Amino acid sequence: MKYKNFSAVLFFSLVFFVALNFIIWESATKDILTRKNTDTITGDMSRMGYLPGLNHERVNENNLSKKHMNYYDFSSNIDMITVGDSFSHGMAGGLNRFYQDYIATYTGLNILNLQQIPASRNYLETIVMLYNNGELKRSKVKYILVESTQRKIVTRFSIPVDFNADLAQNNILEENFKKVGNDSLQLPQVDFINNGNFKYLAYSFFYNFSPNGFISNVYKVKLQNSFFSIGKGDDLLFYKSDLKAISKNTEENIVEVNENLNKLAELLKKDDIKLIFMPAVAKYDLYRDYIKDKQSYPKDPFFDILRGLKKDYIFIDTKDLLLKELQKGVKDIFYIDDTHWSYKASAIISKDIKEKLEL
Amino acid sequence: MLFNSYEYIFLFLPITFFVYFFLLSKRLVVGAKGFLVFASLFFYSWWNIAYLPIILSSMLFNYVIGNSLNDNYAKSKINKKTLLSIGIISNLALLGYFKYADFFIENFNFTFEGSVPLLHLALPLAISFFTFQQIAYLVDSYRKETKEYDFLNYALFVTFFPQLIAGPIVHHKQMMPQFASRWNLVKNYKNIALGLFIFSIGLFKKVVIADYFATVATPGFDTAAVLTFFEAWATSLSYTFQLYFDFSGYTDMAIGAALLFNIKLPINFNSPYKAKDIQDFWRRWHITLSNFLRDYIYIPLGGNRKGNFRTYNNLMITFILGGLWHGAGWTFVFWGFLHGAALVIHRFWKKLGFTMNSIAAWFITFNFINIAWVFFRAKEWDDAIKVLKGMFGFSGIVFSDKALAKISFMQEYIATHQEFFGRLMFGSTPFSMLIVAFIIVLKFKNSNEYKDSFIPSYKWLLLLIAVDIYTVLNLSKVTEFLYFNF
Repeated sequence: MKYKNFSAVLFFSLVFFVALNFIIWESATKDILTRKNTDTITGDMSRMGYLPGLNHERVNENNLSKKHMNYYDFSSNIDMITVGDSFSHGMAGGLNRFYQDYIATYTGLNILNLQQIPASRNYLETIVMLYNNGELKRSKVKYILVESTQRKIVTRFSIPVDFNADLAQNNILEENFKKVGNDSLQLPQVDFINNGNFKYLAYSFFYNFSPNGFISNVYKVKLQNSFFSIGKGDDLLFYKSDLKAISKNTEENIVEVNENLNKLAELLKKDDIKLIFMPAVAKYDLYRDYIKDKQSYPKDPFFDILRGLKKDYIFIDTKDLLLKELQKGVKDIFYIDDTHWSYKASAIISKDIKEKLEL
Repeated sequence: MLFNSYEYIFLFLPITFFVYFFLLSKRLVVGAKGFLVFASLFFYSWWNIAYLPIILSSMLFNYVIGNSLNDNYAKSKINKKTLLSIGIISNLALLGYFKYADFFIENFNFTFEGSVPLLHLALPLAISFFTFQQIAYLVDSYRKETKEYDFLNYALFVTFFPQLIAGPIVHHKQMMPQFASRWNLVKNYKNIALGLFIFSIGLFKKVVIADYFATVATPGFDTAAVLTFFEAWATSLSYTFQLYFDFSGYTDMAIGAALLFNIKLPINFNSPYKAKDIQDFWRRWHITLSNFLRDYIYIPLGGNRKGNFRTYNNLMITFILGGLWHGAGWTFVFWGFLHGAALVIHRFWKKLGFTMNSIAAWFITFNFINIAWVFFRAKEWDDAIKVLKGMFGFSGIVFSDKALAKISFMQEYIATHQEFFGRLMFGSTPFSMLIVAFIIVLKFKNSNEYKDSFIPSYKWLLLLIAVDIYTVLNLSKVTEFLYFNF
């Protein structure tokens, strides 16, 4: 082969490659991998599955009368502490993205949201540390709400909890609180030449042959009814890990989780603090019975098992609450493009919390 | 701009190439070279335009001094030795001021309990490289080894963008004739093909291999409080490979980019981790630097011509200065000291007539180099000690979960000796990658050997296209979990 031909073909191949990236970027992936501005949010499922047509664009805003505490409002008067994962940090974005704001509005409680203390192994140990350090008593906390997404509950809470864990540190709340100041929904900067362009092409092709396109972490299946306000509303996007986690939701493991929660509830009771456990139902589990081809998808026994166990804490059965809304035909309980629920779910769940707390 | 950036690969380099040869095709030789100088200075200024006056003044100053020293200025009234001294001292003063001022102030304050404030000067880009290049030019001018050079060619020699930022340290003897040669004024498709070939390999080495190992080495050196045995070895070996693939990758890109313009830069690496003794290592690692140290420090000090004691002294001085050149810190000095000491021991060993099995020789050499790199990389002494402690087992031994599962017969021992077992900081992937890296550096030819034996074919074309695409996509990798906040 001639050097001239070699150089020319290599050069023009790269030019073609750059042009191809540009075209795919401008026509599809830019909408998936970037946001118009910092306040306009789209969901993780559509991004991870490279499904721009299922974006549910929403703007961060809040119209509730009372909000949970942020850094600037922090005071020592805390009624409720919440600790959890992305559900507790408003990662869904959109209208009234924090469920804590609904609880605060409905009940009038002062609510403080915390990160997990790095030295603790899970949220339960974070609470134990705060208790043993005396912070909860000092702050006169009345309620602790622990939240976790369903798929992570067993891995997080079935491990042994050290009920003697403590932190020799004063002002834990104030220090910890500073870290939770701003829950950023920013996306990393991406150049127009990126492997996402080719993932978009690959996934678009493969989704025609498999519900998760063989390689995607997002399943895309059809529902019997329209449950979303985007497109026909009968597409369900859910995270692959929701399925993978089912194998861990055995009776033995869930009993361990329940035991640890009961022990924590007992500890907190000594200072008149009530423990609320709010497992955030997995999107897959909530909509599973409405999947057209549901026989191909296993049932998750998590809620069925947990319901049957004796509890010393207040249990918020998010699956039961939200299933009733689905049965009424309410749309967008979860966002179509996200693995988080919407403000509608937060409102319903918070009303239930208010009733259970008898406030 | 970095060599491994979109703006360099897809904008700066092709535009510079096409404009340069377009001007040459119109027989505007001066215009083309002027454009190349302009492009190189643009490349330099991209980092920070405030640095531009420094390189311009340095270039002008050294050109005037150099031309005053060579044979064509026999009528100069200033003593040549004085002129040379002024030239060298000025260059070193510039380097010393920007690079070493705070180092000296810190040590002065420490020694004399002073409180002289630090200057916190930003280090001008590439100052170590263009200073050394021009010092070599001045010394050779003094020795009458240079000709009268056209300022444009001299400016190209100093600023030529492929080698400006990180070498190779080029010698005027190698470069000036190439810039002056008429044969290099026409597109040469062989050079273009070879240039693209080695540039692609270099980019792959830097972006895919080196940047991977950085993800292991950096947390180990900079953030981990303690490193257990395997973690420490993974950290140190990862840095050993990161440094090699990063630096040699960058050099390959420099050589490749230069070849596009028909300029052959000297090679800087020749499979250094295949070395079987420390002298061999320094003939394979950063070759242009070791040549400079030899020609302008070691030999002027007397080299090996003044007896054993002087030879060993000269080696130590050369390598301590070499260490200091790399960075203003005692860890760099100590690294240089270690290599100087190793060379002294090697010389002594050879003088006594001892030999060693080649595998053992390689093993000792490689491990010495690996351990010495720990000091080179560590930001503080404590970081170096942390890594070395881990490497020698003083911080415990931890196996990965996967490995533990395979040694089930030891479960009981593990359960009763918990302090020695637990989760590794990183999983087992780094160890697999290290094995791959060892195979690459020990079994395969290096990039220059491939370049020298390169013959264009469809096989190479497809391979190169695949490598380029894979590498460029790695520059902006979209990882879903970044967005997926749980």
